[in-house]
Amino acid sequence: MSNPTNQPKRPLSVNRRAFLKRAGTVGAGAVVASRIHRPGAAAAQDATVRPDPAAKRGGTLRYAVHNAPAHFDVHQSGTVANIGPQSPMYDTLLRRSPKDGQTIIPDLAWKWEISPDGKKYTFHLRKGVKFHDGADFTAEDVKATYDRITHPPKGVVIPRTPLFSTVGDIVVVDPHKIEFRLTEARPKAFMLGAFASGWNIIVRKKTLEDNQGNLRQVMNYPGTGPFRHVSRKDKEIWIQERNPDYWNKGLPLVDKLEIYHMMPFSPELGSSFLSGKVDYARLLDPVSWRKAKEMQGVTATAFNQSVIQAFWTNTVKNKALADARVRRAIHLAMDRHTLVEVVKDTAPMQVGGFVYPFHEMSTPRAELEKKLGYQKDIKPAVQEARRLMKEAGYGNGIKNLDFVVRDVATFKLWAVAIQAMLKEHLNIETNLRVVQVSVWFDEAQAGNFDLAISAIVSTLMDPSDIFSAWYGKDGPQNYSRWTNPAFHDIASQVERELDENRRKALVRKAEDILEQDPPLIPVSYEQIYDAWSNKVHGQNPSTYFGIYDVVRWDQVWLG
Amino acid sequence: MRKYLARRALYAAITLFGVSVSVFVILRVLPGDPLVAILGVEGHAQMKPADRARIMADLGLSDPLPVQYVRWLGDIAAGRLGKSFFRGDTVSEQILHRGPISAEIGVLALIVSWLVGLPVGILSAFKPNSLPDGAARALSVLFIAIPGFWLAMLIVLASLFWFGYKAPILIVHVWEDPWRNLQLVIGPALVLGLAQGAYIARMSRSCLLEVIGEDFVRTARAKGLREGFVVMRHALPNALLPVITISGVLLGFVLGGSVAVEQAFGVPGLGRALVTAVIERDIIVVQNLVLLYAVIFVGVNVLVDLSYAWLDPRIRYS
Amino acid sequence: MKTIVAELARFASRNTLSALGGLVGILIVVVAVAAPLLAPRDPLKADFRRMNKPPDSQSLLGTDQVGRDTLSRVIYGARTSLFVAFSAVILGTTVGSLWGVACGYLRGRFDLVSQRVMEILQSFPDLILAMAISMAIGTGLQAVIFAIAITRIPFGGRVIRSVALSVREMPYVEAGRASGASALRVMTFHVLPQCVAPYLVLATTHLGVAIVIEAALGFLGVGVPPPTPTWGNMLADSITALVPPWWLAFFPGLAITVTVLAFNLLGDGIRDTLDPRLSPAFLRMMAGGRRA
Repeated sequence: MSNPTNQPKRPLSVNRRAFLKRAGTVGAGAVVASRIHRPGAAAAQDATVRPDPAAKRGGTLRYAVHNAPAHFDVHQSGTVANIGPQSPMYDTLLRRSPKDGQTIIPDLAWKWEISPDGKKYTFHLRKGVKFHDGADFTAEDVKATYDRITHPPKGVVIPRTPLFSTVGDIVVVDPHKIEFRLTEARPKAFMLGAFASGWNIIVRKKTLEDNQGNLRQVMNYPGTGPFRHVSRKDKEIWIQERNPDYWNKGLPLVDKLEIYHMMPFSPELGSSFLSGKVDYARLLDPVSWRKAKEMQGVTATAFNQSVIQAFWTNTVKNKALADARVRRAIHLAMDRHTLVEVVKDTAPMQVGGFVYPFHEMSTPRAELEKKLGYQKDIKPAVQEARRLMKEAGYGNGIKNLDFVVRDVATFKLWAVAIQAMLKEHLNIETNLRVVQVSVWFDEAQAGNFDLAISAIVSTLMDPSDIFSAWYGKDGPQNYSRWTNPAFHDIASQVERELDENRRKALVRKAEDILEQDPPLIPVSYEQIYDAWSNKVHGQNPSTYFGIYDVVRWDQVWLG
Repeated sequence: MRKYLARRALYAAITLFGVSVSVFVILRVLPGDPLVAILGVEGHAQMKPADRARIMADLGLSDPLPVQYVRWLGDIAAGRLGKSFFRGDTVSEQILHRGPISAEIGVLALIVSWLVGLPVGILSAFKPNSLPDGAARALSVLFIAIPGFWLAMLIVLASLFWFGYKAPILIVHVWEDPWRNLQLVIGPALVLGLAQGAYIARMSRSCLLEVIGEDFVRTARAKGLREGFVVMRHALPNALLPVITISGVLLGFVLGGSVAVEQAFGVPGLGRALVTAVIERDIIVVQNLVLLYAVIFVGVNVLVDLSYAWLDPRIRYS
Repeated sequence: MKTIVAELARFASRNTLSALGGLVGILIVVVAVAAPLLAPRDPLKADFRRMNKPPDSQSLLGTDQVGRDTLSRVIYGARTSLFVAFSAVILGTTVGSLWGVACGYLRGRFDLVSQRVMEILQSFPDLILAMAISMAIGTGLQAVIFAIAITRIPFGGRVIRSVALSVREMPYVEAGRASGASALRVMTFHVLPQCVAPYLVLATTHLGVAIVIEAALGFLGVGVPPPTPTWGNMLADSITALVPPWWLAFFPGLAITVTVLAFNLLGDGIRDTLDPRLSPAFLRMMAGGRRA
């Protein structure tokens, strides 16, 4: 299933290969640095978001998104339930431009420099920025935020930590200048992408101190963002109002945000949008989306998403699942095309493997679908799966696996289908346990499951990100607690390899290892279906690859 | 009457005490380990002891049970109804915000049940075994059998499918926007009210039939009074007594049934909050909401008994 | 044997509707017991080539989102729902009745305390008490049965207690006591037999309620866990899409309605027959028993 509307442009900043190719490996630093920042032309360089001259001001944007997070700590989160409602209240150092969702532009840092050896990132911070509680924004806040992200305290798990694994010291040069000193150089585009991630919101140093470094129960910690908290009714709505002291003069353009809580793909969301109760609906189901496309005065679009739908196998707790053959057997017993079909009226999905099927580094779809486990006819795969189970000593199957299911329509449907597939092909019996998302992530972290199905995100689409966050040893999202030395070795090579072709070959090798020793069992990859009333201007997600970076609504206007 | 009042109040107090103990026992004591209620049986078994101890200390669950019980009661008396385990919203906020909607639904359902049930029952008793009576009885039996939440589901689907209508999403109180508020509560109120009405129709019919056959009514007829007058003045009040009493029992059905019906209609009432808390295993919220429901039930039943006693001359003048 | 048939025939002619209900009820029980023979397909088997099919010649009631046959699931759903309902009602009513006999016969402090305990149990709305109990003891068939059974205890306790109270005063019971028989003996041989009729009435009347509570628990997601098909689960699963397949939302609910209707009608007839005198008083007892 390909993207029916637009192909997302291969972004310049995310594609470090093209970058460095143009620059040439030697002197890459200088050339890269010069592309981003011309020394001496300070003010002209501030290319941050500016309001659309044709924009009208005022009004209330009614936006429907999953809005009942398990906790309020955005750094520790990986779900739209946090970033959806909370992002408008915070800024980041750098950000992705709302115009194309890809170009990296200034945010709280109005200019930045990268040393020629790529080991020092200096950010010049804006002056006169205030937090919502009136406090001044300084480099100390950036340091506190990033100290936390790069070296989280005990009990805090942040999915973005691996992106900054080579960050050593964070030095406050003066209240408006901060330096990140890397122990080892990383590709500039990679690092800039990490800094521009919507997840890395800047919080106050004092907030972290006052709450023992854990913001899970703090609903309204101050940010510098275009909107500030007004009120919140659990599982109903989060209301935010325009921040009159926002540093970016002229923004935001709307006066109020009403963020309604609606579960992704739910009939509630679809019917609310179709009956005009919300202006912007995110994560629509395909039936409502098709209806929206036919409606007058409404725009509907689709775009790719940096999310994988998969289920994890607890290799620590369960002896059988620790055996790679058993996991590969489970992997092969999945009829992926049918799984996509099962949810076709609930959510838009596409078949994929262990890496994003729409990423240039990954095995192209045509080739993927020839492999066992991705074929339309599953008989050869099932045969091989049965052979593996017998070899591992589980020819008679496995009983009583605890299968934890996140309470979303797609996962519930898949759980039933997967349960049936496992029973029929491999005589593996599972007991379904449906839990709320809040409980799911806690259970997953704590290892209270044999199988657990959900979706997880990555910050970047680049394999290096997912190889460490999803598949890395002790990676924050490696719920299976899986490890494979050969893979980790290749992964670190992939991180450092500069030649595009060699890197691609390494990624293929890594994929092959994953196929044989699965760290998780991929189910599918998601597309996002958005729809909005034409009176909403300024948000055009069709070129994005995710929904976590451009969700601040500062540039949106109603007219 | 006063003695009756005092005795009734005493019993109510004992019952409330017993209710609080029961809630405490069920959710704290029954599973053996309160974390079982929070984590579920399997989840609990898989937790490391150190983590269990930490969570229990956090929630104050490692103190001796009587201490916990007293502390809980003290908290409730002081209005500290606890916070959700997950997002820290206080239960009192939820009750104040969602409670009025659920209460409205209950009251409206009661009104609907009397408005529908009583006339149907009375008319049926007047012309027993006639065609309208037969139809009324058939409908009553049918409405008692239809699960409220299923009827709710069908109504939601039909209104969406055929009329493209969807009820409001947010809670709007009756003092804020009566029309939207009505849209929010009318569905559950009708479904619950009609089911209750069926019981009341049957009840009032059989009671009225019984009374109509009794001596004092025959006497009134013999005195030459008009049939209607006879009914209104003599038969009806006697038939009403059991109806009032049964309304108390029916309240239990409404309170319980409202949970499922709210869910089916998507109304963000207290019932839905309870369901979510049970699914999320949010023990404090479940505990306090269950207590609230029980207290309301006991309270209303006391009122019913009192009104029954007041209406029954044998007790009023004792 | 002949007299039993004659009795049944008389019952049927006097209460045709109730007899009809009984017949349908028996039919449903037969269907539930014979589910493995009657269901055209395995209710758990997903057939991915026939997903979301409307009722047709192959699947009389259609299929669901993963291709499971709705008819088979409704039939097996009957099995689960009836098993839970019967078990819960028998368990709850029996325990309640035995307790009631003891209360009514022994009286005194035991009775006083028991009355209060039952009143406390009845202070919780049925569904909410069942939800709380199942949250405490876990989900699963036994837990749901246990939870619903507990909600039925006070009803049995109340009614049977009154019966025991009145029987207690009867001459032959007094005689039994006077002749030195132990309380247990008197209760078992003199009081209990009188309670059989009310017990039957209670059990049949509450069957319908138990079925609806079980379905509601399933609908809310706190009942018997998937993939076991229960009518409540099926209804909950049916509303996942914006335009749900009508057959998924309709048939399980219809099944619940028909079953509850059948057992309610049967219960009405049994009550009218076994002790018509009890009728309004019985209702009053159910309603205002705490005043007794």
